[in-house]
This record gives sequence, structure tokens and C-alpha cells, in this order.
Amino acid sequence: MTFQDFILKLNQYWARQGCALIQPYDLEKGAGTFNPATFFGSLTSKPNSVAYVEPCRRPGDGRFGENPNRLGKYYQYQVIIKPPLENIQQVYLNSLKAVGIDHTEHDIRWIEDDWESPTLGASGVGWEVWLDGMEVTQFTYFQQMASYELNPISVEITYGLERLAMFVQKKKRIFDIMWTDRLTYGEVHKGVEEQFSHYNFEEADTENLRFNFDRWEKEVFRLAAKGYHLPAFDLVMKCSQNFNLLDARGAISVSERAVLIKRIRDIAKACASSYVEANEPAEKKEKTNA
Amino acid sequence: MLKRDALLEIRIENIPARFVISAEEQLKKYAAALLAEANLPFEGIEACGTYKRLVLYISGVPAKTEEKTQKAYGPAARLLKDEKGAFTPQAAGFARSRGTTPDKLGVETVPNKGEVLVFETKVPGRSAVKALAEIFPQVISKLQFPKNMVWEESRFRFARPIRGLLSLYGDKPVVFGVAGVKSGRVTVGLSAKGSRQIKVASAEKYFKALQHADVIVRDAERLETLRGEIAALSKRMKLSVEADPELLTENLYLIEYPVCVVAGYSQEFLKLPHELVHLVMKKQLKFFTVANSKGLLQPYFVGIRDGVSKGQRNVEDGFKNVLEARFRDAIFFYSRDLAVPLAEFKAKLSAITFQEKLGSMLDKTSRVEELAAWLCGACGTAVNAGEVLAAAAQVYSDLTTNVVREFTELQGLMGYYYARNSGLSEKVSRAVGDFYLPLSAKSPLPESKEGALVSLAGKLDTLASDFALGLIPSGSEDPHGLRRAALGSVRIILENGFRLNLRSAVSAAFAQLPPEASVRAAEPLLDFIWQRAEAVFTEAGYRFDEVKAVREFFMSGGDLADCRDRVKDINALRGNPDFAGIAMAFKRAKNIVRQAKVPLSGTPDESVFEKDEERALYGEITAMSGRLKAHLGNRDYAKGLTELLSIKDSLDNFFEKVMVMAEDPKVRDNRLNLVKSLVNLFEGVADLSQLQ
Repeated sequence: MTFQDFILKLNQYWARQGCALIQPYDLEKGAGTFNPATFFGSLTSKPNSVAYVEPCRRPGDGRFGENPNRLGKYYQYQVIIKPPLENIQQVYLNSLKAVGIDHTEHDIRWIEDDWESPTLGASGVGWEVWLDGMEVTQFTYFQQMASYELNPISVEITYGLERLAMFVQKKKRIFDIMWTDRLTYGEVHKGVEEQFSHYNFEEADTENLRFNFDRWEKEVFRLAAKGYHLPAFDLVMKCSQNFNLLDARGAISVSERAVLIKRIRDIAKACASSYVEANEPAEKKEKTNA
Repeated sequence: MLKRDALLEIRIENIPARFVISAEEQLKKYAAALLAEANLPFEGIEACGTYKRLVLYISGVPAKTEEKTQKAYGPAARLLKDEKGAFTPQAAGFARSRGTTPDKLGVETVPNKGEVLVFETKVPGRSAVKALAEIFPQVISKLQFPKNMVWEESRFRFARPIRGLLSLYGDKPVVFGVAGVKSGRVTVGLSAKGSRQIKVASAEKYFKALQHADVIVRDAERLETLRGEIAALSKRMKLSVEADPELLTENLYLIEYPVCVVAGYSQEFLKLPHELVHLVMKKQLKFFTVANSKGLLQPYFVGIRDGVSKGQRNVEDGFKNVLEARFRDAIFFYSRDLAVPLAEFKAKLSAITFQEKLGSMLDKTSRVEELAAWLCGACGTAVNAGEVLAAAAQVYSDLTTNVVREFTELQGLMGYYYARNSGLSEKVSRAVGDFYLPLSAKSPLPESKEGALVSLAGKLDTLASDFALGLIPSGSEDPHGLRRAALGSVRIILENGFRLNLRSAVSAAFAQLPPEASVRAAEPLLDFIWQRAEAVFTEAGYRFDEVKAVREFFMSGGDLADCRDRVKDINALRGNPDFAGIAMAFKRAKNIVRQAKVPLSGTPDESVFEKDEERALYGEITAMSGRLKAHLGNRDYAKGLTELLSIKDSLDNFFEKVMVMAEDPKVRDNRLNLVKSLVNLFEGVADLSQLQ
């Protein structure tokens, strides 16, 4: 099964489960959780079932295309279901079957791993799913988003697409994954890895990154105060990306790191509050001390 | 009455081992208490579980709860009847409020109230099924886990989502609901076989039904099967699969039926430090390692999968690939580290903060170096100072290496490999590697005296640092492992025979801290260390009060080995018939001195003595003090204590015949000085007044 077939099959499977196939969001982000469909989607009291491929950037993880297992840009496949189905674990296992992995012929283990994102003020309870020893999915029941206690709860299923494709295609290097019958993942992405590793580690203008961070941060508060939570949240994503770049450039000290993370958490919180107040004032979500 | 068994199975999404183990204990405890409260007797109670089910099994439960007598208490008994023998309005009122008549009231003596009126009613037994339907949901909501979550609209809190409840009394369903789930008689089998539904006919048939579906619910049985499988494998391979207990437990709660997967890996990976190989296999993949009869690691591993051997080849290949990828990563990191001398890693320590106000790890390294140098001169033992300093300089260097950043548990150990790689001697490298020892209360100490001294310097600096910031452990909170550090220090000192004045050592440690950390809490830190020493001494079999007797000596700068010698001899001589008496007399003398209102020199004037008993006692004291000094000089506390015991008769005579608080102030003060001289003598050995 080619990489693109893989995505098509997952789309088909989750569409059949009633998920809306929201497309990737058009801004740079470190994880699918930043997609507004996940961030704002988990905050409302309305049911929400979505699935989508989400390209992600982790500037510090790039290895110039030299390490067979590490990438600075890669793909997540994300499913959000609220409220969670009672048989959600089985529904997930069936999704593996849809991409050619019969779980009764493999070893599946659910290893305790409670996910959290300090920049989003988000946390959840869940597992890493190990398929014959390899982590292929993060499975999380969100408990908090932007420091709000969630009600109802969303379940987030995040597949590492490259990992699963390597598994199914029995490849040892990411770049050997067959994207189509003729095209490899390497042909699509190796150049990207090389170029961006140089940018992330050597070239990115740290002064500019900081300058923009500060400017956008102010703008988030201004926009959020006016109720424009969506454009405000775009800028949160951009700040987060600048933070990751600064980190990859080695420009952040230990103490500054904690400060920057809190600043991002605060602007994410401002967007969430603006959204909750505008959309569900009656709900008045319970705030935590975080 | 016919008895049946009762069953509760809570089916949940996967929970980790430590959750299951603690939940089992709680299930039994809470169920037993609630059953007793409901007057429902039982013959046995058992709890067991896997990663997806928690099971409570109660055997020999009668169909009905026992009849219960309920008592209502009313006014005082004397208010039952008036002088004419008629019921009083109070008695009538109480009876009416209970729906009865005064002639049905009895009298009972109640603590603190005396005799009061009582009305007894019999509450008939009710069906066990009904009682259990109330008890089970209560038990479930009482369970406490290290961490809880919510997942459905009632916002019930539990470790992981509850997905099924099976609850039976004999063959009758016990019906209740928790977190939106209704109980029934259905459970599911192995998830590896598609989680097929299983209908359970009766509580008594539960374990059989699951066994049939290849689920071993009882933890002990499952463990036995797992051990059996591993032992059989060892035999077949003619090697030993290392059944690490922690790993056994962890795997035990990742499966419902153990199936072993064995495979080999490339010999090339055994070039890695074996500790690293162990860690990759154990921590990252939960695989068992395999060794030969000499305990040498062999290139095989054993993984455990859940329940079925279908697709065994897939799993074997998968496990092999993952292991290989992890080993490749490890080799990549390790070889990159080996290409760089340790000094370069040390320089990077300046970027790692130790603690706010206390500088970087490089600053901490300098402090450890200084303190280690100081300890060389102060430990009263011959050590090679050059080796101590060479090791101290590198104790934290490995923290910035790739392997330790990836596998923090290997701190210290990788230091050994990298120190050797950088050309340090085997002994110095070993001292670097032993820096964090001992890892627990009973585990090994650093191998060499030099390594021990470096390790001690690190621990004292850590202790002083946290105490200086006011981070003193309380209750069960001890995030920086200070208790372990203090206990490790005590063991290192005692087992290496260091003669160390810890009061000075602690002061030296505080003196090096930057001025921002302003608390110099020498007293509390010394006391904190002493508490660990007390634990070591009592563990060695000495009595608590014997240990207490040398605390003062320790706090004023006495060394720990000396403390131990004293305690040992007090313990040995304690059986002497005069011992209790002399301890008592000393306590008395100490009290007298404490209450004295004038400053005492401890040197009485012989010409002021009035009684023979005074002269006799002082004579003995002066005669003995020289000998005592010699014994103390030789650290021969047995002889010292024997000397003190020999004074018993004259001391008893003195207290019997002589009044210390005489009217003439001159005589009184002189006697006080005599007593003081005695107290000084005793205190040179130990504070015997602590003995009980």
C-alpha cells in the first residue's frame, strides 16, 4: 500500500465513521493539536467528529535528511471525536485493518502515556499504541485545553503516518517509503529536509524571530479583546513556530524557555477565552488554577 | 442457608501495572467494610486483575443479610415512671415518637449517659442481591488511583474509561450502573482474539469461562505461567533469560495470557556498554535480556505478547526491527560521544542550570572539587588526593553527552566509559562512574576510598544546596532524594572508616555556596544527617535510647565511627547489673547541675568538703579521670564505661548521705561543682541520661 493510498484509506474509514474530513490548516505548526478544528473544536459543548492529515514542523528534529528515522517536517493523521464512542479502542483497531494491518496477527500494546502540551495549556490521559513494539499512534482523552476543563471530553487519535507506512511497506528508512508506485518519500521530501535543516539550525534570523514574536503577541491580545479569536489564534501558531525555531537555533536559555512557553500559553488562553465568551457564555467553563 | 459466591468485574480501557496492584488491595478493603456494615457475611474475599479488568470475588455469601437489631435511645431511665408508678409524659412521648407504647421500652446503660430508655426493633434480613447492588457501586467510586480522568457526561472520575460491568450473585445478575454503564452478565475475551463476548452463567463459573477464552485473570497464576514460559525457554536455549522482577511485573499487566517471542540481534550491538543494552531492552521495549551461565549478555531477547501466537513471525520481525532501530540510535550517540574528550562535555555544563541562585552544573562541579579536596585532609584516612581531584573534576561531565541526554538513568555509568576513553586511569574512571552510589539503602557503595570521598563531596554539596534554599524534605515529599543522599553519606563514612567531623564538613559545604543562597542551616542539616545515622544504628540492632545517648556528641562534632563504637559498647555493657543504677544517678546529677543558679567550674575545693562521702567520691573521680582519659584516647569505650560503673557505690553513698543544696552557699556551690565534675566525666563518654 502506497503512502497516498494509506491516507486515502484512512480518510475513507473515518468518513464512514461519520467524521468530517477537514483539510490541513494552512499555517505552520508543531502538531495537529494546533489545528483550530482541534483547538476550538474541543472547547465547545457541541459534538465534533473530524479527521485530517496535518503536516507538522519540528525544526529541532531535522537531521539534514541524514538520519533514517528523524524528520523536521512530517505528517500526522489526526482524528477528533467528541463525545468519545464507547467502543473507540475497537474502532481504532478496525482502522488499522482498513490499512491492511489485522491486529489479531500482530502484537498491539497500549502503553501508558499521558500527553500534555505546556504551550497550549492542554493535557490528557491516554497511551502510546505499540504495534509489534513500534509506537504508531498517540491516543488521548483530552482533559484540558487552554487551561479550561473540557466538557464534554474529546478523544484524539494521532497516527504517525510515516511510521505506519514504514511498517506496512517493511522499509527501514523513511525516505524509502513508496509515496506512489514510482515516487518515494525521499524524492518528495529529502530536499525539504536538507534545506530546512540549514535554515532551522543555521540561517533563521533570530532577531527577526524575536521581533515578530513580540509584535504578534501584542496583536493576539488586541484581536482577542475584540472577539476575533480566529485571526488571533493564527498568530499564536506563528509565535509557537518562532519559539521552536529559536529553540533549534540554540538561542533560548533554560530560564527564558519557561518564560516563552508561558507567554504562548497565555495568548492561547486569550484566544480560548474570547471564543468561549462569544460562543458559549451560558456554559461558563470551569477555570482551573493553571 | 445455601451460600453462593458473588462477583464484580470492572472492565476498563488499559491501565498500568501500579494502578491494578493498588486497586486490588482497595477492592478487598472497601468491600469487606461495606459487607460488614450491611450485615452480609462471607467466607472469603479475593481481588485480582489484568490491564483491562479489575475483579472482586466474594465466596460463601448467604442469600440474605443477617437480621439486625436497631436501637433508639431516649431520655434517662429514671424518667420512665413517676412516684405513683405511672409512665411519665417524657416516656410516653419517646414511645410515641418511635411508634410504640411505653411498656415496650427497655433500659440500657450507655457510656457517659448512664441508664437511659431504649427501644429495640428487629430489622429483618434482605436479599444479598439487593445489598450487593448497593455495595458494588460504592466500592467502585471509593477506588483511588494515582491519576484520574473523566470521559462521559456524568463526569465520573476513574483511572481509565469503564467499558463494562459484570456482576453476579450465584447465577443472579446484580443490577446497578456506574458512569453510564449498566451491569450485566457479559464480559469479553482476549483482545488479541477480537474481544469476543462471553456470557457468564454464574459467579462460580467466571474463572473457568475466562480460562476457556485464554484469559488468566488471577495475577499470581498469570505470573506463574509467565515464569514457567521463561524458564522453559531458558532450558531450550541452554541460556538464562534474565527474569528481572520489575520487568516481570510490568509485562504481567500488559497481557492477559503470556506468549513469549524470542529472537536474536546482531553481535555488533554487544559492543555497546552492556548497561546501555539492558536499558534499551528493558526500559524502551520491555524485553528480557539473555545471558550465558557466566552472566555474560548474549545477543538474544525475549518479548512478551498478549495471548496468541497467530502471526508470530510478524511480531518477531517487528520486535527485531524496533530493537535494531533503537540499538542503531544508541550506537550513533555512543560513537559520537567517544569522539569527543570528556573535557569538552564538561565545558558545556555551564549551560545547564543546577538550581536557581546556585549557578550552573559547572559551578556545582567546582564546589564538589573544592569540597573533595577539603575532605582529603579531613577524613582521617590515607587517600590519593590526586586521584580524588581527577575524578571530582569529571563527575557531572557526562550529563551533556548524547547518551545520557537520551538515557538519563545512565548518568555516572557513562561517565566511567567516557573517562576511560579520555585516558583517565581505570581507578579514577571507576570513581567517576560510582559517583551516584549508593542508589538505594542497601545497594553497593563506591568501590575505592577515593571514589567514596568524591561521592560524599557531591552528596554534601547537594544537601547543603537544598538546605540553603530552604528545600528541606517534609513528610513523604523528597523530590531531590535528600534522604537518600544523607543515608548514602552516612554509609560511605561508616563503611570506609572515615574519621570525619561532619559539623566542620557541613560548614565547609555551606561556605562555598554563592551568597544568594543565604540560609546557612548547619544545625538542621546536621540533625537531618543524624536521623539517617540513627536509622543505620538501630537497623544494626542497637536500641533507640542507646543511639540517642551519643546524639549530643555527634552534634558537637563527633565522628560517626566514634558514635558507633560508643553505641556498641553501651549496648554490650547494658546487661551489667549496675548499669541502670549508674544511668539513673547520672540523670539525677545532670538535673542538679542544670538547675544550678551559679556558674560552675567543675573543680571543687577539697578544703570545703564536710562529709567523708564527698571526699570519697571526689577521690575516686580524680583517680579515675586520668585512666578514663587514656581509655577515651584509645577509643576503648568498654573500659571507659566500666570505669564509670566502678564509681557506683561511692556515688550512691554520696546521694544518700549528702545534701547538695546545703544552707551554707559556700558548701552548696562546692558540692554543685563536685557534681559538675562528675557530669563532665560522664559526658566525655555518652549522655547516659537518655537511657530508659
